[in-house]
Amino acid sequence: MFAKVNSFGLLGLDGLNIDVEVDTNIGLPSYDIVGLPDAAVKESKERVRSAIKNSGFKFPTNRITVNLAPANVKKAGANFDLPIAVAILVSSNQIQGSKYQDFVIIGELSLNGKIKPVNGILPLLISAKSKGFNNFIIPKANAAESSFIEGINVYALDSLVDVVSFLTGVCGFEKQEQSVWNNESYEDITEDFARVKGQKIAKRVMEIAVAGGHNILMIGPPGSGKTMIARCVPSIMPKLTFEEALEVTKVHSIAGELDQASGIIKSRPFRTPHHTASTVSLVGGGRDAKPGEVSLASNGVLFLDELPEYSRTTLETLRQPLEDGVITVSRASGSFEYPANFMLVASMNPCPCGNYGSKTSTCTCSAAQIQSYLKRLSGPLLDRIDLKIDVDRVDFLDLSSKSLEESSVEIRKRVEQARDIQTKRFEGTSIHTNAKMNSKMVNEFCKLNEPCEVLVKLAFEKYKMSARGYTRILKVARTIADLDGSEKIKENHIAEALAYRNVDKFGL
Amino acid sequence: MFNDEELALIWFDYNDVSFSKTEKILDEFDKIDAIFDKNKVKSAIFKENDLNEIKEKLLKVDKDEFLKFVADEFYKYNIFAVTFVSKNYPEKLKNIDDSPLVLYTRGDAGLLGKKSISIVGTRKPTTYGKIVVEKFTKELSSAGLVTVSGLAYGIDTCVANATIDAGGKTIAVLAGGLDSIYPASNAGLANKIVETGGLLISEYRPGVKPQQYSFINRNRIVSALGLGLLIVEAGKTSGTMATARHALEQGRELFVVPGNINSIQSEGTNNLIDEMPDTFTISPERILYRLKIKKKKEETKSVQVGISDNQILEILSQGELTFDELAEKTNMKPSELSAELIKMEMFGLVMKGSGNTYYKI
Repeated sequence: MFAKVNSFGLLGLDGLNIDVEVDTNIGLPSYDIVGLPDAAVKESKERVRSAIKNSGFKFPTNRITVNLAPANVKKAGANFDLPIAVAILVSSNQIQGSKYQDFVIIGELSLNGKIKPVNGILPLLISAKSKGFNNFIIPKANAAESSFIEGINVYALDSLVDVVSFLTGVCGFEKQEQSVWNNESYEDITEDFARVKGQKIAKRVMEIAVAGGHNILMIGPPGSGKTMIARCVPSIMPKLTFEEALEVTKVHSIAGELDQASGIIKSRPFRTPHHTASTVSLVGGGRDAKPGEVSLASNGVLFLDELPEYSRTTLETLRQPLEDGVITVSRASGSFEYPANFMLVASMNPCPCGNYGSKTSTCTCSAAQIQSYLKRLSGPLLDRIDLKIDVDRVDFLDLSSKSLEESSVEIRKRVEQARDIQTKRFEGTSIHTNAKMNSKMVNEFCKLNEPCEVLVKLAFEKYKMSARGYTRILKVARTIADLDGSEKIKENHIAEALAYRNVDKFGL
Repeated sequence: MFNDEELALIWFDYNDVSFSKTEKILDEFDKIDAIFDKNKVKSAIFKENDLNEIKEKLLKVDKDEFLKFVADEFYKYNIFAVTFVSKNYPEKLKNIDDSPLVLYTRGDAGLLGKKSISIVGTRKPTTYGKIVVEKFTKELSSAGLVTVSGLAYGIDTCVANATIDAGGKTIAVLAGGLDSIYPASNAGLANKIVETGGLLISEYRPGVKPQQYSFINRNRIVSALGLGLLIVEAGKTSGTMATARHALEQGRELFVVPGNINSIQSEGTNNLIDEMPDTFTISPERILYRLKIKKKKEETKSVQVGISDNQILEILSQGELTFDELAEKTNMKPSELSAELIKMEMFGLVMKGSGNTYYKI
């Protein structure tokens, strides 16, 4: 007998409707899966057989053919264990009635018939909903993750027995309750700027960077607090909106990095790939074209510590995501677009030994060594970093002082105000922050009055700035003016932007 | 283009004949250009084998062909040459021990005869060193002195930049052929030197890469070209100290700027002052006085500075401070202070060192 069950498989960040078809025929006992299954799908044979037997059902001793349609798309993962098992039970008349046809069924089976969680439930359900499917049977452990999608009926079940008794009407199960998105009271500040003593410039520049979505580079000797400052950045970023949270959760769900208990991610991601990270782990890829660190950091911070230590080719791959906010990963299994809308926070030492320019330690590097160290960063990459600051070690007196520093929550208030101004400014365009302005927008929104122009002209001559450097200054000045609540860019805004300019070349 | 004598010296250089061998060969001739006279070369007798090899070469030389080769070569690299026998060979190089026989030049070779001051120092200057060298260079070059340096990183680069900024002329003495500038990152600066009427020179022909010894050799030319040698920051054992020794041997005035006794970049300079107290220099005026150079009348420039108050300058005049310390003392917001400081930096009132430390100039 023939049976067809609806399921969904992952295709990048989207779900694809997969028909799981099972046909049991008279013939020599055999069991085949067709429809471009990968290893995990092929192995489902054994899991399904054991799960059916151990749940007290009978595994048919006929000729069984499982087809995953459409047959031309590669299927990956263990999502299809449960729909295959259900389809086999239907085709062997162990599930009666047609209720199963109303549901999209997703889940991995354990040998004893329990249902295990799968990756990517959130993106699967969202795209299934957009394709008109409203009823779902999913693993119990994925319940929290699915609960934020409105207008669908989700039944999160624990075992194959539960599924069968639910579909045959023997037992009723409550549908998953809808969770309400509330991020207002949510505070997850693990690192607070209140704990960073001194470093006034660094804090101010971080505020500007976050407010305008600018990328930032910190240069300083080891032990000067670069990493600590970077870790505080998420705490001053505006709270995640529901749409952003969904996007973050989607990517983490696909990558299998989601904490199943909380369901949805409420805090901004902070990713710190090590400098030995491969290009694939950073931008995504691999056999299944999985998202990489840049996508996991989307809507949050990508922190690259010791920037010159990363391999050059790895760093150059960051150029597209930094420009477009998305990354296209192409593999044999397909070409997928993942979000990569992160803020880049990078840090580095001023020289190989780390002490060049330090007041307290002596640098042992030669002038040529320092030059070649700084040259590891390419011009195009530096072009995409608007802000640059020096960070030096803080004196013990400052460290031990009891003076109260501004907390992250206070800084975030100002950041959110500046972001509101930008949201209004860029209404109807595809961008949200000053950093992403194109040259036409820069001309429109960053008009300078005469004193400002005089100042910029002076700086141009004095610091031998490039045209790109000029645009960077204008964007940063726009953000500083926004933080100030000023509609026009004033002289002081330009001056401050000049103070944090990113130089095209570092000189000795 | 060249007379035969000049061409002869260039021939020796292009055939890698050392200074001493050139001398020995020329001893056998009554005139330098006699080396192009086949009969005279034939009759010359040398004891050493390697000199005889050179003799063989000389017998094969076609003078006109060599002249054409040199002309092409110089045109290709946009250079010229001043030889020991040229009219414009500077006197100050003649009276040193091992004068270079040929100097390759790019730019205004007339600068070689002008009054000049050599300025050298460490490749890794501190902010203090940068401030000092800029101040001295600007004053000295606006007094009409040509500055001479080596185009290395650090102080040398500051000297060239500051001279250009002050509208002066500078000579950069290189340790390799003029076809490739070393360090390569200063190639742009080298072009600028030529564009602003300065001069690049080297005793090495195009194609010769700088070697360790050539940097030390180069230093003797740097010190010889100046009426005096000004040293700003030098490590204990450094090329700069070698230049100082050359200057003393050549009878040049030595001017040494003292530094922080805790800084390794000042160990060499402080030791020099310790040994020779009269080299102690803290103002450009003293150099001008000792070199008997009259200062040009300064044009008074009025700068309109949009700086709110002098509070910051007053505080900084008591010594350098970090940004945080300044913020605390002035009670200013970081945003205001940043804006104020960058303006002051642009008008040359303060200088920012690494690690957000600010110095008054």
